[in-house]
Amino acid sequence: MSDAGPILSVKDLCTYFSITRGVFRREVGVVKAVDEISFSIHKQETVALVGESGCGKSTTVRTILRAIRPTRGEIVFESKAGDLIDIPSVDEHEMRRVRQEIRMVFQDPFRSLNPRMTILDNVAEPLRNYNLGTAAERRDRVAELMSQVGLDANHLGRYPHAFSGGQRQRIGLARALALQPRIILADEPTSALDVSVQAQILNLMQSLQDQQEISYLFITHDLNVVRHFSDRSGVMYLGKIVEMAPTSKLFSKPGHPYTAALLAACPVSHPRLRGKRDRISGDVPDPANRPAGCPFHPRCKFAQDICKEEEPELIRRSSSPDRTVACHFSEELDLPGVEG
Amino acid sequence: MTPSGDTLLRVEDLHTHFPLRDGTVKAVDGVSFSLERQVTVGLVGESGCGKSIMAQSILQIQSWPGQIMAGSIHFNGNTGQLDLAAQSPKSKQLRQVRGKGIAYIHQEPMAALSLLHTVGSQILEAIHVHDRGIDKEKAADIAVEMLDRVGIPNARSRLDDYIFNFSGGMRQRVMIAMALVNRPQLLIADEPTTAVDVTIQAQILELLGELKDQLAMSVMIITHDLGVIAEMADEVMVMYLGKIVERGPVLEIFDNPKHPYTRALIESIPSGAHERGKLATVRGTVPDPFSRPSGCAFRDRCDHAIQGTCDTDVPALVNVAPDHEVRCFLHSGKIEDE
Repeated sequence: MSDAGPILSVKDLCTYFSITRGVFRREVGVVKAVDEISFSIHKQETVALVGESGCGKSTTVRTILRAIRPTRGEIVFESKAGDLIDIPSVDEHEMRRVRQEIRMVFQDPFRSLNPRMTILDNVAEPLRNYNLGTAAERRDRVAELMSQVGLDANHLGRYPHAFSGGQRQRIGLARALALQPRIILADEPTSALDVSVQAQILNLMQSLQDQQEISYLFITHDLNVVRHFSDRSGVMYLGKIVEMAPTSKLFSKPGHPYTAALLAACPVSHPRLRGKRDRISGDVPDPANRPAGCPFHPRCKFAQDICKEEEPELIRRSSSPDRTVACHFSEELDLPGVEG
Repeated sequence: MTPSGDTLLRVEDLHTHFPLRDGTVKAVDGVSFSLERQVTVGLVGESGCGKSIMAQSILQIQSWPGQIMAGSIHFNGNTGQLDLAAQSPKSKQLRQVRGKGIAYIHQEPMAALSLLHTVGSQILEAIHVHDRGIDKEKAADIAVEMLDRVGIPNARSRLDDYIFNFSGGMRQRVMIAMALVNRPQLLIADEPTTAVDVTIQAQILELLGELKDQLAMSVMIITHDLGVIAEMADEVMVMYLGKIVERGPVLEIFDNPKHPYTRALIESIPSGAHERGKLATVRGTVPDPFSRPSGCAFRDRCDHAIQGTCDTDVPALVNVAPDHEVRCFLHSGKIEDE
């Protein structure tokens, strides 16, 4: 981490989708997929966004790359040249530059590579898009990238089907690295992999970060991975960040009942730790029909009347200034964390 | 470990092969184990290790052209002993066991249930298959009772809903209810929580544990997630390339794993214990089923492989403790010093 400002800062970001009906596409509702979230990423830092499906974590990633236009809010990116770029407002030409420095790694290694293109073409595609180098130079660069991600550079002529899931995810990483990005947005990069292969990919991502000073925005639902991998973590629920804190603090002492519930739901790492823990009941509500007040109150066992009426703001905890929590009772609750 | 002590299922030297154009895939290659009543056994392994095919072979519902080539599967159900491997896949005997003696739940409820039929009609069908004479009202009562039990609110009114009207966690509950309406003695759950979120996973695992006790059944849970095993299983079987490489009580497996593969699987779970340190990994990937290494199938990825032994001979499953078996040369003939 550097002492300079963040290289990506997201402020009050909202991405809403309207639900329309009929020939005139009358708006009948709105899904607040991402609702006023703020966070920042520093150089060589890993920030994780955790949450269950439908909480808006993938939408956040897409909005950062402007695959989806945000409804409002700021996404300020500091480019390598030192310019500050506000992603929602810049033109396409400028956005192309941004996309050179913010790259993405996808969840499904079977669908994120083009099956009709060789590995050389797949990995070199970003270089071709940006007209970088001659064909021979690109080939050398791809060979170099392949060895960086631990694959045999002699396999460039093969097609994706000849590789296993873990190898494909390495290829996906090589493709993301081709343009020497500042930030890699990784959307569940290991959730399709076996645990032994997941460990290989996480180790690789860490050593790449150390060598090339990359920052990661890491999206996952697996808290074990978060705990191992990220410096700071935000917990999302129904489009909101409900808690953001350094990862170790988040695990040792969660500040939001939902964080505590996620931790309690995690399978134990050893059969001796088995036992009754507080499970939360119910499912995530329909995002189009969000509960009034605190979005978590129907599942929260600490909910009081105020939680049903007033939505808590994400505020800095007076006791620990590096933690923000959106809960009316965060200062009073003493929630169990995980040891270790 | 078991209250009743008698064996519900005994699989001996099971081989399920897939004769393909490019060669034969030995998906299940000599698996033997036995399962007691009211025990939860966890079957772990990476994708492609044959764990699902092994479980499907028990009911002979493995996909074409998979075929049981050798071995026996003795099921000691309510209707007496039966060797399931000796029955033809379409036989009456096997069809009576499917669903009633042994039920199977899939990973993905949306793929396993019909989108065109109501949940009620699908559950009623499952009841009707095993009890032709049952009248509709009574069958509906059984369905409602089971839906209640798995925690579906307003069960009676939900009989007329379709599977897409349910949320992810509720769909998995419907699957479980449907599997249990005929009160099977063994429930095989194939990755029952891989497709759901972690809070839902916790609910489903807890539910399976409760139902197992209430209905006095055995559960075989198939997973690649050792966390699920740590949470649920009484016994563990670790599979690698069609063979069981280690088997034992869950505490023994976690406290005292013997096979290098089991150890690596346990160590590769990320946790706070090794923050930012390197995770242990298993080198390489599961080998191609057509070019399986000679000798011990794991030797290519093993840090302890012994030249001249592991590459020539196939290790046998040996006891390292009572109830704890491992298939590795490092532990063969070492029973006394453990």
